[in-house]
Parts: sequence; structure tokens; C-alpha cells
Amino acid sequence: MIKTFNMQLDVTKAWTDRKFQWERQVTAAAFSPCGNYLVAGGVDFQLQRWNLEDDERTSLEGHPSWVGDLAFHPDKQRLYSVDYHGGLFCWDYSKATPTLLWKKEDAHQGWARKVAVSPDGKLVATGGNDQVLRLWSDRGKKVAELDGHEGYIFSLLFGPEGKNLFSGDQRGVVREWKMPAGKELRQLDLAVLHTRLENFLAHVGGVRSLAIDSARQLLACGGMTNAKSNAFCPGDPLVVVMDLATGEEKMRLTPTEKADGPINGLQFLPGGILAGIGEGASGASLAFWTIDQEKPVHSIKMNSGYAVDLHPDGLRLAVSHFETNGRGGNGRHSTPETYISNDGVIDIYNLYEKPAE
Amino acid sequence: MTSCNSHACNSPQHDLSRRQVLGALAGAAAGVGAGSLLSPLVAEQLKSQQKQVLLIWLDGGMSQLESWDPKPGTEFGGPFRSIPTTLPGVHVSELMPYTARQMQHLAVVRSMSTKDENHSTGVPRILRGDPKNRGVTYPYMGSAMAHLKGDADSELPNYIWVKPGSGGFIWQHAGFLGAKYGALALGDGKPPVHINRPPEINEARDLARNKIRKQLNNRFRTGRREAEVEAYDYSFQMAEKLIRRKDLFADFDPKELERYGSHPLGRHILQSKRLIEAGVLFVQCHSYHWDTHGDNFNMHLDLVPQIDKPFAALVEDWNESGLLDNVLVLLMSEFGRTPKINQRLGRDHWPEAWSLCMAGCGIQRGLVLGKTTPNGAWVDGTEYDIGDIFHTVFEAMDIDPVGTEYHNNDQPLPIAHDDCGVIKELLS
Repeated sequence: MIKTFNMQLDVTKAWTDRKFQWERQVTAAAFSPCGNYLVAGGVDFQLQRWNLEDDERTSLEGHPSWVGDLAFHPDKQRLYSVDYHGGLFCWDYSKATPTLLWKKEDAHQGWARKVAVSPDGKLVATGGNDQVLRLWSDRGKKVAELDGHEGYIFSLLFGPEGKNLFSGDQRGVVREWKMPAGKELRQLDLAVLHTRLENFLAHVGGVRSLAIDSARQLLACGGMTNAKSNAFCPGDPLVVVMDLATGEEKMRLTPTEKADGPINGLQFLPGGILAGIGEGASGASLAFWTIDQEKPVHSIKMNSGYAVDLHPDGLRLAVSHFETNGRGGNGRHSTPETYISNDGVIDIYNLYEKPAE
Repeated sequence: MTSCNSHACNSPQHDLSRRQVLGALAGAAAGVGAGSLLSPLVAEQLKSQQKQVLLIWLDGGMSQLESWDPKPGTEFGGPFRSIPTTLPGVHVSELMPYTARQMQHLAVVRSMSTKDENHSTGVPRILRGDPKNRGVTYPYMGSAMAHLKGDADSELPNYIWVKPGSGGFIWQHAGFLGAKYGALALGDGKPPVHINRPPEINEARDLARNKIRKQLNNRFRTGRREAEVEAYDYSFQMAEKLIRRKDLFADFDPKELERYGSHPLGRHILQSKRLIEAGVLFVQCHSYHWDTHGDNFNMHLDLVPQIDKPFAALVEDWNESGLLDNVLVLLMSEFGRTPKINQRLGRDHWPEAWSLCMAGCGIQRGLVLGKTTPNGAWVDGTEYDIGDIFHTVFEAMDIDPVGTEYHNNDQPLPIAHDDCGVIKELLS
């Protein structure tokens, strides 16, 4: 049951007593706008929907490859998801038995990595490996193709009023587009989040996550900097906060806990606090920053994380992260019978002081 | 001291043929350096007279699931599609569209299972064929070939290693065979530095300088280990040989770069191709940074195309020229990558079940040998070790892998693991 007694947001006292677990890693997770469901997808060909009232899980099957991202329509009925075969799917997620409403299997050439829905619900934006940003009507009619990115599109975010769209790419560039016209307004330089040393075989890093504060003044861009190689891909986790009025960098944020991967998920909370989750070969942390200082005011150590999302009640945060299933690393360490995938876990953090029993 | 086997070919006719080749190469290079350096006549002669090896090494471990043994739609299969190849019913990862069109020339072993899950020990162990421990350091495959098939009087080094980074003479590859069978490493595929004699130094002066160098070498030799001195001597001799062959390092034709790729691996495979066509017995072409513990899928998305295109172009070119009949191409790593995906969305080291590819020199064309379990994690059926591959490579190179022995201070040593054998299905 969702408890609704008087609670003050205080991230330093965040606690969890509830988690949802799936047998694959979960790289995208979000609460439905109605607040009744949590939906997740990732290293798998299905979406999982959990009913927050009774924890019942329902699978949404149909994607032919891994699910890159998901986004809800504000009508509280439809859900969009994209996959690594380039597909865009639309589901009626709120039904007892969700069904696929329609799909565009070739929405993108190669991976479709990200999807976002405008606040008024009229536009759906997708981006992926073909470096093209596509705008669709909510019913799946292609409205526009926006060219310009020179690397894979890793992140997408509509501004709070839907008048602009931000897209971040592999090469450390964020582009701002006027909506619905699709005109490019400006580029923000996030090159610090991209590394390509002379001996690298590939680009490493990129703008992995985006978030805008409720005052519409700040754009937080997550990723990592100073990548050391394109093999282990180790780097320094970093959030760059940009001033939206000037387009200039305002602040750099780093986690307290040691980690070596990108910040994959960002979410502004009420009060201007930024929550972020990142990866690390030996674990990472959920961090809460106040923006006015580099280090978080509070952090919670955990395994590598991939996404964060705030519940419509503003007091609960879904945090998806890795969960091991037996010893990992090099070599076998197990029999064929016990060699299974690692899990994905979504912890629900309550962002207030735990009530006395 | 070691003794050479009966298969090495040092006949005058061989030498003459090689000089013909070199002459033709120099002539072609003096033109525009475009296309294959081989005239059809010389290619035919070369084809009939010598067998060579090109080993392409993807250091760190390419994922078998993102290349030769895709398992789309399965627990560990990853996000990529598989695509059909020119072999009916055989699929490879969608990251290999060019290679898929050359599968009729290739033999893929999907059932490699080896012993070492570490790079530091695994790389030398694989490159030495993982023989039984007899208290000696075995040679790498290239050094073994230089010893067993090499021509000491060759106008080019028998074993050249094209690699990123720095070059030099890597005598350690030779193991107990002795330094002269080491690898001449060409950093970034480029010739040794100072390959060009400064214009102010004429030939007479150069000879005088060399005389002094030899005198100093003799003094240096006193009180030092023979192997150490040998290494210095041979590295200089090899550099001298290459100094005479500047044509081998001319700029690549833009059309070739277009087909092979202008990235390091594309250029290095092109350079390796040139060296093989010039008559070098064994070329090892190395690419680093395939050890994708982090961000495996984004990295393979960018890495695999860098081997797919040049490898396919090479196979296509050598098939057309006929050279593939006599040059054995081996594409491999020290192991594969874990089916299980780690918390950095990477794959770790997996020697349990992985794939390699062979082509040419009598290797069966259009063959997929062995299979893995439906989840790709384990070999389903006969497992092959690197010793089996060594036996097969020696056999393809007309070296009897059982009857031929090394001799190390009168100690007879098998050239490949005693308990392994030729994989007969791989030989046509």
C-alpha cells in the first residue's frame, strides 16, 4: 500500500524497504504518470510492469531485441518503448492485460536507444545509432527527421513546457531543438564527457543522461570523463550542470563513492536536488547533489546503476541497478546448470525520514 | 643448439623465385603502388613454391557472440541480429556483413576450449600452442615457423610483427630456439626508424661506420650472454634488410584504404598483405583493446567493423589472385568473452567456448566446425584446444607435426602438444 501520511522530503534520510527484481539487468525504469505502475526494460526482450498496489508483475512481450528506453504518454494510458533493432512500440500499459497498440519496426537504422514524449503528448521523439532524431505523432506518424548529430544519440529530454527538446550524443554534444518546428537552436559543448585518445579504437563516454530543474534554469548532463581505454572503459563519473540562459557550464558534480563508469540516470527532485546513479566495475552509488557543491550531500553505495525516476508523489525514487547471480568475472566458476544471467533490481527509495514503527 | 627440420626449403630455385618476386614488387611500387603488387605470373610462381602464414590477433578477446557464433534472442545473446552468409544455414553477427559474403572461403571453429582465462599467461600460452611443460620456453607460432620453414638467406625477415605502438626486435618470441628466430616488430606498421640513410652519408662512409659497429659489437659480446648479443646482431641485420625495401612502406592507394579502412587495423592488415606478397614467411598483425570488460556492446559496435571490412577484403583479394591457396590466414584472440554480462555491461574472459577463423593454404573452404550449447556458454560436442590448431597449422604448412622435433641441447621436443592432433575436418 502507498502510505500518504505527512512526509517532508529529506534525501539524507532516504530509505528503502521495497524492491522489484527481474532475471535480466534493467537499464530503463519509470513510474507511470498515474502512479500505479512501475515499468522496466533492459538486457531483455520484454518490458516488465509491476502493479504498485499488489506487486503483481506482467510481461509486455514483442520486442525482438533489448529494450533501450521507455516513456509514458501523459494520457496515463499509453507507453512507448524502443529497441536495439530500431523499433518503436506503443502499448496500452494501463490495461489489466497490456497489449501492443502499434509498432514501427524500422523507426531507426540500427539501435533505437532513447524515446521521450512531449508534456502535451503530441510528439514522441526517438534517437539512436543512425544519429537522426525522429519526431512522431503520438499515433506513430513520422513528423520530422532532425539531422546534425555526429555520434550515436544517447539521451533525450523534452523541456518542461514542451517548447524545446534536448538530445545528447556519443561525441559530447547536446543539441537543443525548437519544438514542434524541429529547428536547431544551439549546441552545448559537453566534450568533457567524451574521450577518444589516439590509441583508442572507439569513442568512449558520451552524454548518457539529461535532467532539467523545475525552475527551467539548469540542464544536468551525466556521463564520465578521462576514459583510460576503450576496453575496460574506465573513467571518472561526472555530471556537468549547464546554465540554460547562457549555455555556459555552471558546475561539475562528482560522486563521493569510488566508481569508474558513467552517470546513467539523472533526476531533479523538488527543492532543486539532483539525484544520479552511475556504473562502476566494483560498484557505484546513488548520489544526491545540491548543485552548489561538487560532492553530494548524501550518497548510498550500491552496485552499478542505470536509471532513476521520481514517482508522481514526489517522494519516492525508483533506482535500477545490477544484482549478481553467482560469482562473475573471468572464467566459469560454476556449472552449466548454475550459470545464469545476472539480475536487475529496482529499489524504491522513500525520500523522507523513516516513520517510527 | 636447435636443429632444423627437413621441411625448410633453402634451394637456389626458391631464392631466385623470391628475388623475382621482390623485383616485381619493387617495379610495381615504383609505379603508383596501386592494387596488388603481384603480377599474375609472379603470383603464380609464388603460389607454387612457398606457403606462408598471416596471423591476425585481436588482443584482449573478441566476443564470439558478437562475431562468429551469434545467439540472437537467447539469454546471453546480446542485442545484435545475426545475418545469413554465403554458406546456406550459417549465420554470423550483423556486425560482420563483409565477412558474411566471404564465408565460402573460410573455416570457422566454434568449439575452441582452452585452459587460461588470464591475458598475461594466456596470450603467450596460446601463441606458443600451450605445449606440455618440459622446462623450456616454447617459441611463438611465428618463431616456430621461422625456424621450421624459414630461409636464413631471405632478403626479408622471416617473422614480422605488425603492431600498434612501438616496434623493435622481439627476441623473446623465439623462446629456446634462440634470438635469431625472434620477431621484427614494426610499430604502427612502419619501418624501423632511421631506415633512410641521411644524404650526407655516402655508401663508403656507411660501410666504414658498419665496420666500426661490428668491432664494437665484438667488444660488447665479451662477458655477455650469447642470446643477448645474438638479439642485437639479428635486429640490426633485419633492419638492414628492410632498409633495402623502402618500397614496402610506400603510401597506400586511396582505393585500397577505402576497401580496407583507414583506421589502424585496416592499414596494418594492408601492410601485412604487402609483406606476405613480398615473400615474408610469417606475419603477425596485432590489434589491441578488444578486452571489453566495460560497455561491451557499444565497443563491439565500433570494433567489429574494423576487422570485418579489411579481413573480408583480404580474403577476397587473395582468393582472386590465387594467393589464398598458399597463404594460411588465422584470425583469433587468446579467448572469447563471457556469455554473462557484468555490471559495467561488459563481458569478461571466457576460454570455455569460443571461436576462431582460418582460411587458405589447404584449409577446408566453407566450413563451420563444432557448435556451442543453445545459450552459447559451452561447447556442445568435441572441444578443440590450441594444440589442435597448432598441429593443423603445421600440417597445412607441410610440416609433420608429430614426426618433426625441435632439439634443445640434445633434448628432443615435440613441436606441438603431444596429446593434441591435426583437426582433419579443417584440411581439404
